[in-house]
Amino acid sequence: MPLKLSIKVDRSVILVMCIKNLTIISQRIKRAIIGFWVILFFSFLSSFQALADELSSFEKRELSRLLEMDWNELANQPVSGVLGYDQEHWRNPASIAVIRPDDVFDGGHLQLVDSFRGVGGMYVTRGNAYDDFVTMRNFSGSATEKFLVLVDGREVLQPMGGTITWGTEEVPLALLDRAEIIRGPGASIWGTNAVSGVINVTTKPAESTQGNSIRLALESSGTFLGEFVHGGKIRDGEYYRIWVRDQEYAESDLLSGMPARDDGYGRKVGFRYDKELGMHLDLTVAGSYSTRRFEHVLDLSSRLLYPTDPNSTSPLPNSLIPPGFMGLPSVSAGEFPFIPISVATGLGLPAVPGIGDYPTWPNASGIVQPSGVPLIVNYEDLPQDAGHLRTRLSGVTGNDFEWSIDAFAEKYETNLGHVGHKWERDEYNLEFRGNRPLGERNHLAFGLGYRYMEFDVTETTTAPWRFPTINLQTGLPSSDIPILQYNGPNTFKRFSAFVQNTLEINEDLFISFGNKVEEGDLSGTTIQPGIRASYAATKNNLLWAAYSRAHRQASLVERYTEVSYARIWNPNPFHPLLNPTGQQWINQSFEADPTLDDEVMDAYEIGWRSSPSEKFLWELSLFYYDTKDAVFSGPPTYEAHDYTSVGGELTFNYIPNSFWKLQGSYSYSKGEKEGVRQTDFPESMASLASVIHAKDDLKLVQNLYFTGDRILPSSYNELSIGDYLRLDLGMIWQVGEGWRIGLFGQDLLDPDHPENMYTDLDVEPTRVKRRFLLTISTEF
Amino acid sequence: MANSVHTLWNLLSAGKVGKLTSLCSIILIVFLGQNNLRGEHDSTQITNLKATFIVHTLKYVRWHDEDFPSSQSHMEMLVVGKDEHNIASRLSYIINSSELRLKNLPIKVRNVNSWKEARELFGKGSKKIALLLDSELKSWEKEKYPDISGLLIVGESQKFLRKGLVMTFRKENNRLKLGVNLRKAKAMNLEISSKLLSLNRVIFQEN
Repeated sequence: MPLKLSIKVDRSVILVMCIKNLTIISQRIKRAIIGFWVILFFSFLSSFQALADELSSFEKRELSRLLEMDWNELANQPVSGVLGYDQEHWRNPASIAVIRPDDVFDGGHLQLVDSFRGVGGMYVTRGNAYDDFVTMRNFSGSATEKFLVLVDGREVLQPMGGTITWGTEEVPLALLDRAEIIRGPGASIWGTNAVSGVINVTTKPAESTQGNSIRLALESSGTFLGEFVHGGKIRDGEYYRIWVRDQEYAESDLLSGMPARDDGYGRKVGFRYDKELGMHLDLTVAGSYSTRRFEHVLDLSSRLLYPTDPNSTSPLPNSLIPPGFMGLPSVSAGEFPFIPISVATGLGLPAVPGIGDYPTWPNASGIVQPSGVPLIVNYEDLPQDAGHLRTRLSGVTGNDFEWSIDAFAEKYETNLGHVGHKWERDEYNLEFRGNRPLGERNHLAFGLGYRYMEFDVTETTTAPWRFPTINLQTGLPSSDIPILQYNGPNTFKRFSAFVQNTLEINEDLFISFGNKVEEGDLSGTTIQPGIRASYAATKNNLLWAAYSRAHRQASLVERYTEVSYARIWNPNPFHPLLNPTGQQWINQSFEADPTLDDEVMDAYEIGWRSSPSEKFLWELSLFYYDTKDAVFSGPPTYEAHDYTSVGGELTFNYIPNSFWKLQGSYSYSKGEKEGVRQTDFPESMASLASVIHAKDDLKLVQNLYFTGDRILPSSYNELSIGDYLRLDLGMIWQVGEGWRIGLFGQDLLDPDHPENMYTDLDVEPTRVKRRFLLTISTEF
Repeated sequence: MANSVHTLWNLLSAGKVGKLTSLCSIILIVFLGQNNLRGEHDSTQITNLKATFIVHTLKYVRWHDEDFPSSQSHMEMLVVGKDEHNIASRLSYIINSSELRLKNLPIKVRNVNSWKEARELFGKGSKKIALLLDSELKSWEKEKYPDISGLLIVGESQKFLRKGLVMTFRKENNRLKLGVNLRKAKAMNLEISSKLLSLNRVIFQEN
């Protein structure tokens, strides 16, 4: 029996089918358009290829790089390696900038950190004479660095505050081999805190710094820098060096014209000893000691508060205090129940405390801030002493297994006198790393690490705060309530392991993938995988892409430190039952958040590196960061929010002719916290550097930096920083054998501008002024 | 195999630190084992290094005047064999960009396909340097070294060790090294600087 099918189709079904067909057609059109663009794109790339010589421009650049090496460097060049180790390799699937000693000297930079201004995506600002802030790719415009910095393999991020004391880590320029700035997470190799990027600073071996070298620099501000390095040979294969560095900082002016009291010094001594223990076995022992002495300020203007609505007190529950309670001037009247006591006294409000109620408080400076609040400040000493010792044993075994064992011991001691927070940190690290080729097309690396830290924290109640205040936790008056109270553990351990493999699929396609696992007291167990791939689309064009997951530990201050930044006067009459805090000061504290998780970032990056000729290289890098639980510091509270950052950098190197080199970058990045656009990081930045060899012995240098506008966040003193263009011009003479003299004019386009400060701690930013610099270096 | 998996599982079941330690042990075993899988695949990087080594090394080799007729306008370096990694172009590029001259003469690089072809060229003009590629290994014997004063022949890899060449590359511990046969150099009327020979991490002396 034949099967009879009857199909009933109504109009709506036909309509749906038509829509589906249309959708399919439109998708096909889209695909065709995409395909067209892809073909056009590769045709475009191929046109470069057709024009190119037999060797690609990348290869020519690589050969030129090798040609500049001396025998020692050549002897240490691995035949094969893991992408992620050899940052300068043109196939590296990451956005990388390398700074060499000449870049620092020719740029007229006193410190290495100054030279980061010319690196795309890096935002470098001057806080005061001795403090610089560095952030990367619109992630945390505050003082907390969310990237990892290593100096000769040693992590230099301060776990207490999550910051880097750049001045403590400086070394004489003669020692510097290079600083690699790797934008984007590198956690699968480097580990926790390699979030928005990694800065890897390496110094030269002792053999490369033989003899004596001196570098002197004098700035028109009065800042002085002196460096001396002496290196010697003990016997064949055994070398040493000793060095000393002294930077004397001149005092800056604050934006209001007041002296910033930021003069002081940073002095450092160090040594290195290298010995060849065998044909393929090396020993390095190195160390340094650094001491810095400065003063730092705490703005006290809005820290003693008077309630404008007396009914809102007695007692003062935390819930009644809005998060920005110190921000009276920026909050409309009627919404905010507190004003600074100095203002209340001036207005003659009822029941205002007399000076006998807070006798240790300093007098007003005589300056009234634009907000109308009299300025009250307290300066205290800020000493920092740090020393470390490191040992490295490294070798290569007969089966191409390259390994190293590093041991670090470090002691760091500081006293943030302005907030009465002193701590000592003893740290010990042991790391083992190895890598070797595996088969024809794999190169495998792995590492193991153990870290132990011990803290000794001492809190001091600074002089202004030593007057009776009700401690809400005890209900009793006390004259000994410190601003910061550390309540965390004193010891921390971390164990880590990573594996990374670079797989050469074919001559054009490389994939590097790996994972780092950490088990620690601060973060628990974390898994930080990463995969990167680079594809040589044509001889002169490389495309790369990466996905990484990275963690950042919340700092100890963020997690464990209770903050008491303000005291509130209760003007109501005392009553033992109804108002036991009447006519007394009440401490207002903010608990730390020990539940703050690690920040976890998923990062997606793509890049296009192109070298149309050996004289021209450009690169476009795009990124999208998606971060969960990003900690936003800024006293008094630390809060975790989800954060996204998107942007990119366009960089180029161009050598128009034999005597002129150009280098430039443009970067754009946009950050959003919980979907709200952030303004604490300049979205656009650009730089252009030009070096002209006018004569054999004369170089003319020009550096131009553009920084977009931003807003310095604050709970009570928000400050808008306008965009600024910085122009530096310099001349460098090569005088005779080994002498170099540089004369620079810096920030020539405007007399001064503000850049940064510790918000809610500092009174105001300093003026970064137009200045002139004389540098002299010699080797003998 | 099943036993290995079972053992591995037991190891991984031994707590977090235990897991990590076990994992590391496995990795160590992989790392410390012989690299048996490694084949003849040669990376671009080693070719770049060889080219750079040659250019650096030539600065430490001295030819006697009598081996260089004054009528020559340039020196010629022959790359002999199947040039899979394009070392001739690399040599040419870095010789030009470093402006290397020998006896004040510029150097030109030329690729010839076989030893046979190269042999006919030696002795004509200023062909005093040759790089013998691995493809010519089978056709090479010690006795084939032409008796031409000042002729420097370098072997591409360790396969030419003890094959009577003045210099030979060797890969050792993931680094490139250059072996120098002083006896052969002397026989060919070549002087090798002691500075070069003192670089014991780069240079080894071949007997």
